Amino acid sequence: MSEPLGAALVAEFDDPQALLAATRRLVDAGYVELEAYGPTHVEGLADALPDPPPRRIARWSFVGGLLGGLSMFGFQAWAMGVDWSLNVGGRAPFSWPAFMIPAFECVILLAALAAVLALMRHADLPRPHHPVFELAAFERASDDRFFLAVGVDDTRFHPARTRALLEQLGPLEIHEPRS
Amino acid sequence: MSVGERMAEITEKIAGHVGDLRRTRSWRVTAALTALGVGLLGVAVIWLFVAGVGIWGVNSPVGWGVAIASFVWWIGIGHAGTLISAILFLCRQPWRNSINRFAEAMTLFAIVCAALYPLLHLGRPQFFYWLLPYPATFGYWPQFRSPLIWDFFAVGTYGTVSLVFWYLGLIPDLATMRDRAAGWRARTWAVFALGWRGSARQWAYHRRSYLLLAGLATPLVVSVHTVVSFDFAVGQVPGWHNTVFPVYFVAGALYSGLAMVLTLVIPARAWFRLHDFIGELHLERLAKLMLAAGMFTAYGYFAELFFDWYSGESSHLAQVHSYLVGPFAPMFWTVIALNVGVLQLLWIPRARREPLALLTISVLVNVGMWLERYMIVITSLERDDFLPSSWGDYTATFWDWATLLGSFGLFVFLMLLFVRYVPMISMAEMRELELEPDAGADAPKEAPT
Repeated sequence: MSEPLGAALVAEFDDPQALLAATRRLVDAGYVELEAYGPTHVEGLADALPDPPPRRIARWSFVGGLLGGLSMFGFQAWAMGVDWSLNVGGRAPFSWPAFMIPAFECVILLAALAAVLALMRHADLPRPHHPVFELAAFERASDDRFFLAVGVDDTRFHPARTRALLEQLGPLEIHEPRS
Repeated sequence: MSVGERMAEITEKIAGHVGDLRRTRSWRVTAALTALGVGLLGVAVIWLFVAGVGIWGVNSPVGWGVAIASFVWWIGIGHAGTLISAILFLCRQPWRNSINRFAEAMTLFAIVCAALYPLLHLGRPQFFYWLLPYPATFGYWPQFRSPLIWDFFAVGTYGTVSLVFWYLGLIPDLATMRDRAAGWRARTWAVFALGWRGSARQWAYHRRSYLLLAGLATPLVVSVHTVVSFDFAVGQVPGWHNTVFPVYFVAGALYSGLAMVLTLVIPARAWFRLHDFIGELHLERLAKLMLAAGMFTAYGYFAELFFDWYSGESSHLAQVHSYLVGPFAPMFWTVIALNVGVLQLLWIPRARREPLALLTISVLVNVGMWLERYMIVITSLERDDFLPSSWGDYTATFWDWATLLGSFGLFVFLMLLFVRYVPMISMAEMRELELEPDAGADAPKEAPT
């Protein structure tokens, strides 16, 4: 399971450690439809979630770089060596050391672009609207507050018991976006 | 103060500067002044398109004038931004969080200014796209054995990757701006924020791709000025044909770039009262980096002269002679005085902490580095041939200077737009410092409470 599209309860914290502790507590209790939000990167928070994000970005970046380098090198070899072989001062048409430089630049270019495209794909961007934005208090998720959302479809979810569990974890407030 | 309260304070202090009305008048005056520079650049470029590259002082044998010297200088300026944003990030130097957004913006705008010159220099700038390998009806390709094409790929990649890296770091801050605004402003910020909601998953992926991009930008930045140095080193011209050039150029690039960071950060800090974020510690560390890069550059001057002398080849010996005691001695010794002499003041701890002293030193280094590029490009070409009968002189024309002045105007104008419309310090990264007590103590961020 993953980020809840329709959150039933959203607990608000003003401390990242409290959020981290609360996330761990709910995961231990068997909740799976959970997401934690905050205004900065909190080390270990994503790994505390029920399904930590897999490390796919580096792989895509590697593929992009490989593709960029090989195709640029191959293209130059073909263009200079075969298609338009021009004698410039007797230099070899297949001047591979010279071709390394544009090939290297294309490794970096495509690896970087692939990393960003992979980020967009995996981090669910761009997505101008998300149900969690319905919650007015969520404006502060980009400022100074930390939120933990529990999905309505979670099999463990129970309006009273889940709320009671969250209450124990020291939130500032527990929001009910749907009510 | 709780962590949340300290984070709110960070947001307020940094986001408060975006579109801040209190400083509107001084902003408008400076923006208007630099807009004049942009106008001058526009006129110079239009006249170049109308009349051709002959309006510049370039001719045979000096085919590369102020334009190419300025290209090398501007692209070098950019390097410090990547050093601060990528290399110091990989080295886990949290103090860089206060200045990396600013330095990256400087990099981007320096690349914009730099990229203008070689394109305008093409002779027929309207055909600049011929540099791109596209299947044209002419049936031929760009000459990939030429350093000038390498340059196109290096600078193009550098510009693109710098822009992407900068934007990637900006996304969470754009979300903050979106959430603080209302109405059409909020909708505009929302478009650029791409719907960032700060979920743990988004942060985890964001961090991974940011790290990857930092890792990719590091070899890239070293390659860019190396390729720029190949424009010279691959040629046979005495004063250019030298294996020390790649190292020497990269060191010089970092040196001039760090000087430019200080030149921009010190006034910006005073103008926007950013002393909480950019303290003495930041200035001192930048000064130390500048000192290190400057000493490398000084080694480059020495090595270049030494190897030219050691080669025993008459044209190289003549070059050394003309620098040390000959016709180019005044310029050479000015460069040495500004780039090596003035730099030595930074060994004094007080000079590294005193903003005014540091600003003076960095401005002098900027001037010195520009003169150094002028010296490399132009004096070498004036004596470029092995036959003295082919030597010639170069004088920059009004339009050369107008283009240079205009590019300054463009650069400062873009920086002004940046400080007015974009959070100039990364709020997300400053907040992260609050989570690490050690790092927070390292950076003089918060006042003791």
